[in-house]
Amino acid sequence: MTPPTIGDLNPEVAKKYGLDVYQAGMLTEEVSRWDGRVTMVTFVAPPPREDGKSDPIAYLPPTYRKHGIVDRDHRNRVNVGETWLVEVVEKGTGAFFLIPLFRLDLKSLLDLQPERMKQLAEQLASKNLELGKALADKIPKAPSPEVVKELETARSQTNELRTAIDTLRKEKTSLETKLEHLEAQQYQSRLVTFIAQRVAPSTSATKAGSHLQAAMTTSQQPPSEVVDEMTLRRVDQDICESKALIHNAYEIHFTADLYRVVLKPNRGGVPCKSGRLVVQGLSRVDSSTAPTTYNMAWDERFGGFVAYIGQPSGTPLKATEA
Amino acid sequence: MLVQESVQDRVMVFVDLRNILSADLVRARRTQGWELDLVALVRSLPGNRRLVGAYAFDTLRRQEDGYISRLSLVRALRFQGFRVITTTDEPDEPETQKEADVMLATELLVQAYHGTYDVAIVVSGDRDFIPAIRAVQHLGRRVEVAALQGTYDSKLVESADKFHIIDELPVLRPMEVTA
Repeated sequence: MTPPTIGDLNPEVAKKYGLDVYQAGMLTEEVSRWDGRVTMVTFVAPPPREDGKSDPIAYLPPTYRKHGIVDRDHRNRVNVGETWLVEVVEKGTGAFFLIPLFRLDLKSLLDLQPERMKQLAEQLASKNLELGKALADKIPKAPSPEVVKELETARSQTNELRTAIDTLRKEKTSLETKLEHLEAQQYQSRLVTFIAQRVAPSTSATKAGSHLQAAMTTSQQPPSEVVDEMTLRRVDQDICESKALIHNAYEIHFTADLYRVVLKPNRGGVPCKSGRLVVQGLSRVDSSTAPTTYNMAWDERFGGFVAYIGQPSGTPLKATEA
Repeated sequence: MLVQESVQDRVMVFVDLRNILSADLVRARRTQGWELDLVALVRSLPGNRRLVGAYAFDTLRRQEDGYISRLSLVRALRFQGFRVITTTDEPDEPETQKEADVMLATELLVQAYHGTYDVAIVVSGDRDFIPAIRAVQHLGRRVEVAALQGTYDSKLVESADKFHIIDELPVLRPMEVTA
């Protein structure tokens, strides 16, 4: 068997347990007197004996020619294959009894020598560099400062983008509001254009052009020339007509003060044909049978035309006789 | 107007039916052959804003013969999309409107608390609603009041964020003549 080696055992420990003999040039010679010495041995199975005993024995360093047996009081503590620090008791000549002091295994060695543990770890690490790398790849790594910095940058960019999105949403809402107003204006413009085109045959080409131009540049209110054209003409008791009434059906309501009638296009069930419709209830407000023309205006609040059928003090437009 | 209205505003209308239907002007118009179109009224009040709901509150009265006044109106309003909340007085009970007023105030507050509207329009001239209106305003909602001329209390108008005069709104239609 291969004799146990001590290697770079701590010199102080070696001296304490009498292991310093190896470093004193005694490795090749037999120890003259073993009694009381402490040494490191590995117990092995004894050669077969006639009496059948099989207590482990250990060959003594440095020559391993002599062997000792475990002291009878400690036989149950020792097994074959274990390495122990033992005290050698010599009785007579050539009879050695080994008193086991403590078992030397990896744990005890490491416990005894923190420095040694460090050296072993370093050696293991150097010899198993690839294994270490493979393991290192599997261990979660703390983010590097560069990654942390990138993360912070990304977070700040995200916040900026969120702010930008909020701003854009607000702008979108604002634009939708403007769009609705513009659509209302566009409808008004188209209406004015339509009226201008319808009155064009009865007017000069220049006037028709001015109508169209005015219609194109119209803002909240239609051009004054066209406003003059926006009238509701009563042709019979409850029958009215207007060039502005271009839709097929209207919803008609009177105000509670009976000064106005509101005609909302594309709602309600009052049919309108060729700009003519029945304003039921008008004769109750205006009992005269003579044809009358009422001024009319587009009211965005109601989404319809407001015709001024009464004579309230607050009426913006004055009714005119046809 | 100090606070700008937006087409995005969600408007909810709360109609005190008895208050508006018992107004002198409405009664006078009825005798002249006109009827108040509550749907047209509710549609006109928000203007360009978004109408998200309309409530009507009323106390109905059961007569001796079992006939319940305004029941047909209530059914018609329900059919047209109103949420109508009513109570019914029995013939032997004293006529009272307070329960309907409290129901309106409660619904006004509950809907404000749930954030279902931005603007509430209370169609009534009754000053009993002033505390409820203030509470709703405290929750960050705007409250407008709509009433007919001569039927509203000035303190109610002062507490509102905006006041609508119903007389100027297109709400009347001729009654259909039945043979």
